[in-house]
Amino acid sequence: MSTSNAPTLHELDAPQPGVGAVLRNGLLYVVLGFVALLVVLPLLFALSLALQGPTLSPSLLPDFGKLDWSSFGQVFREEPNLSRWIVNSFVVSVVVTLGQLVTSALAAYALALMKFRGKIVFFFFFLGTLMIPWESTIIPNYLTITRLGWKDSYQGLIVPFLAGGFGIFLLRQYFLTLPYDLYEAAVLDGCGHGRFLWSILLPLSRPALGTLAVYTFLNSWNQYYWPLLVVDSPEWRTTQIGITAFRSSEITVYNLQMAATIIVMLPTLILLVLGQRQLVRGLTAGALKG
Amino acid sequence: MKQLNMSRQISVFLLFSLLTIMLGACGSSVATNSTGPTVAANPSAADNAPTTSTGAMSAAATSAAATSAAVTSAPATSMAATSAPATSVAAASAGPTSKPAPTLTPVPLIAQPAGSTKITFWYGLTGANGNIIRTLVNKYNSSQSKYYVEAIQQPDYDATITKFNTSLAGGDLPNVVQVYDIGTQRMIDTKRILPVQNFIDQEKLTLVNDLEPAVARYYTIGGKLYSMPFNSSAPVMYYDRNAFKEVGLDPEKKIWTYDELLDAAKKLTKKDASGKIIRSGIDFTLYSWIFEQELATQSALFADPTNGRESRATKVVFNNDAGAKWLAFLKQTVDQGIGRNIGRDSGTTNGAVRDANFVKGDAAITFNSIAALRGYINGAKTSGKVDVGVAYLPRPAGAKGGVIIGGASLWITDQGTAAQQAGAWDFVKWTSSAEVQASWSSNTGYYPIRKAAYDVQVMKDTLAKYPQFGVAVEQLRATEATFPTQGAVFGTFLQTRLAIEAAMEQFMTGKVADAKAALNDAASKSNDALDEYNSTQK
Repeated sequence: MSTSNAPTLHELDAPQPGVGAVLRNGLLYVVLGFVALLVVLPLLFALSLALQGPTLSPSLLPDFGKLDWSSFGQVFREEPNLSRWIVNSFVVSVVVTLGQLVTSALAAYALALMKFRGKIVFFFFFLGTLMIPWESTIIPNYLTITRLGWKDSYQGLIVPFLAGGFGIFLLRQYFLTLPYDLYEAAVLDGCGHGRFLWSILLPLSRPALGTLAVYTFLNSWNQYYWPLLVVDSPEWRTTQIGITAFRSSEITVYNLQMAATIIVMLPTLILLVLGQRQLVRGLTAGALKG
Repeated sequence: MKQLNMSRQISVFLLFSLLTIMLGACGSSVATNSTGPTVAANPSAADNAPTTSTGAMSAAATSAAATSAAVTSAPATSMAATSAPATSVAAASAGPTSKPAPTLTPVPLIAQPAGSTKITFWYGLTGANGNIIRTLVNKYNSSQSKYYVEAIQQPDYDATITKFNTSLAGGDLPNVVQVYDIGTQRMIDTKRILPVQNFIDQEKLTLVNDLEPAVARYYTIGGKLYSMPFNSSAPVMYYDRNAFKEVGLDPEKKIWTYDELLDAAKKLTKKDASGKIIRSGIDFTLYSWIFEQELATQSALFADPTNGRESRATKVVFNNDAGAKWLAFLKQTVDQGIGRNIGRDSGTTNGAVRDANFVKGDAAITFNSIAALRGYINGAKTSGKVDVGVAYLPRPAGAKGGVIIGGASLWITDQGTAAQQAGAWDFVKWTSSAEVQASWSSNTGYYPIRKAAYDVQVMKDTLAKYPQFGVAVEQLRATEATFPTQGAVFGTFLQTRLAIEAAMEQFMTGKVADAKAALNDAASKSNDALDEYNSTQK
């Protein structure tokens, strides 16, 4: 730890800069580059298929002389609801993510820092919900939502996912890694639970919150079965149900399907890029203060 | 030191979190592509063929849109959009040089008129065929004012039956639902079905006599027509007539035995200097539906007793000589370097690879549903090399069986009031009329389910335009009525299809040397699932 500037993660792991470090760096970039390519490849292929027009026999690369961009406009013309579906997915995913952050943070705080009877029972109770396969809860949930008359509504799509055992577990474990001294010091200075959680604990927990947010958002965005069940009318569909309209299974013409898929994927990709930066920033801030 | 530990801890945490995210993302994207474990496959053979809406249907669409504009304040854009198919179709039918019309405009449903009884209808066809269904529904709704059919599109057949099963618990079922062939037993077992036979008997209709016999047979269980066939298809052998002529094979021959086909494939195969196949004789996917068909061509039962037609099937028996023969035939083509195995079909995109190879002329023969005919012809036009021919499915010498139809049918549920049930029947009866079936068939590539449909002018025009379709009809009519060709019905068909394709893969890749052994394994797995299912049905 001899460097005077704020050390990066990588430098922390490689205390002796030199030929070895440069080599390791180089190797790291090669590996990262390879992985990046692997990750991007399906996307590029999707783009390539979208640009090849309505052909039954697409090739790996499009004919760059005559790229057919019309498919992107065509999907909106064919399914005027597509933009509505994207809005639906966004509203549902954002609200579910916020809800999960709030409920998980509060529950995790209680489980990590407060002392009360039966705390461990509660914790295992939450943890236990992780062991229940989602298939077995879907019918009770469906019945509840139907009885409440929440089919074809945002409530129906959102409410069952506002809290979850995974988020509670993740945040509790993270809160436990922070020094308890912090809490004691804050209490000595007259800080209450709410203030401590809001002003001290949550800012320090940005990496965990970021992780949970990105995870929840993606999961919610990608949901298929639940929206399929509780939505009947076309305008309440989410993107994952909606894009199936572009599919036909006997003979497959890919261009529209792929154009729609790319359009639907863009928001999540943007979020991932932004979210990752947030994650890394939260991490370095925490590292320096700790 | 403490700082170091802290950052270590955090970096480990970050790594863990990223991994979780990646896993989560992978898991979800898988769930998006397929749709969960039970519905991953695309088991029905008779699915969509991308077709353009033509002639009569476009006219119907336009008039429907006009009606909708009158009834409601339908947005002006949808009006404009609906008038588009007519032009795109004109372009498509202009001649062999024109490309298949890619444009497919949405058909909005007309609104419910006041005082009508609402009938909900779930359907599982998407793309161009979904549009044609909506056009039909609009036509029905504007043809009378007593009932109003609200058509609700589901992502596909699997999703439809999955959603139906879940909805059973909530009691909130549609009045009419389109379900694929292999869902037949499961639908009966829901005990929420009103067999269409009841309605037919009540009205003393002779409609059943005019149904295409092979189609009617499939949906008849225990002597009762349970659902009304709607879109029916059957498998055929596709071949490239140009390639056949090039190597001196008879391009008009309709029935090929396995041995004849092996000889033909040998002649059709072209290799370059290095021995790499340029054109393969036969490209095929490991497709359970075709396997089932090959059992039928050899008059072998798929399930016992009597394919589940007289009483509930208690075990599958596809691990017989007929099944092994088909597998051995496929293996032979690969071993001799005259055929290519494209891989498992259900739940994969391998079917698209097979189709592309065929229309590009990279494979001279393949097997698929007749519903794919127009897609193939349009694709072949683009490549300009292939002249699409249709023949019977191949069979061993002396086999006397035939083919089983595939596709989907319309089921009426006991949901809702008596008026709604009557309305459901009224709509279903209407879809089975010769005119509707002729126009449906002409726009999609499925068989008309009514014999009378062949007398309708649109259908005559279609047959004149696609003479290949006639061969498929002929194959269907040449099929004798036996239990094997009636097709099997049992509750766990989907799992069985996956097991069969897995067994085919085991055998083709050489992991299991004996075809019978591979099939035995699939049969025992299928029987476990079937026993479990049947035990819940007593």
